[in-house]
Amino acid sequence: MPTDYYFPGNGTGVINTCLGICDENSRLTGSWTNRVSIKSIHDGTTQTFMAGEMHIPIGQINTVPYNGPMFNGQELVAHTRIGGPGVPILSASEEAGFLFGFGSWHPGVCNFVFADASTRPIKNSIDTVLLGRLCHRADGEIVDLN
Amino acid sequence: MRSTSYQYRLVTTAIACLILNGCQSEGEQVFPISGKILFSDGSPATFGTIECRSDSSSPVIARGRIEKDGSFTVKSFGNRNGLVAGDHRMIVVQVTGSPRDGGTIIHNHGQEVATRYSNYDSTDLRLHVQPGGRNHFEFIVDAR
Repeated sequence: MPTDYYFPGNGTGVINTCLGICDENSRLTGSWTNRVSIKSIHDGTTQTFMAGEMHIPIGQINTVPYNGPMFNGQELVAHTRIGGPGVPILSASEEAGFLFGFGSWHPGVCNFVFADASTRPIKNSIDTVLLGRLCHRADGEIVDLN
Repeated sequence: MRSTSYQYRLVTTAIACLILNGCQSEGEQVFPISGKILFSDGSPATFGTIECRSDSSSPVIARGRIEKDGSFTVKSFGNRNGLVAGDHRMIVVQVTGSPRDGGTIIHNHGQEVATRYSNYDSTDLRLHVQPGGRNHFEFIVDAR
């Protein structure tokens, strides 16, 4: 399995299409990067996450860095999540400090949109290796979702 | 400078398991463990998470956080303190990159462990958990 699935956007990890390019003063320039086209989803649209609920600890809504502005060219953690070994789907009761994982306040599951626009809940207890495969759009492995 | 820098460094892995959910049997007994991660100069790894994966056809995955003194404990099945008995592989994951301070990434977390420890295929960190024993594990790891 490729070991770069935590690199979003122009990496092959989590899809992220809303990254603004900032200037040296951290101001948005109006240009965008990391646009991901559907043809770059080599594993297939049914095998790849497009978006998922982001873990925000209870009490941290609208609080940076847990939940910041989406159109942000710098602080990825404010709006983007990753998943795989060591970074599982987190539960709402997870203590603050685990910044990077997907997660939901729904009990036991987290909702994802796949790249084919279908939605489905994924158990928080999913094997983290499989989670990484679903986050990676070109790992070359087929995940049996059934 | 274009600040599109995605500095999420690190991590990953492999091995095929074609069952999406339910790889874990929550009825299994777990046994408390403790551990510590040190570099060869004696300094501790001060941040990151560890994840353990049991060597079984239905692997049990457990994880915990590395404290500033390098110590860690783990929880299985969400909130049960410990690991199931038997052999486990362990990975160490350290994600760096945020927060920033004035555009500069803060690096005050000491040494980082070598990236091979973040991959189940390449890690050589192993634990053998004995029922009822004193399960304490110390690891000397290479720095990145």
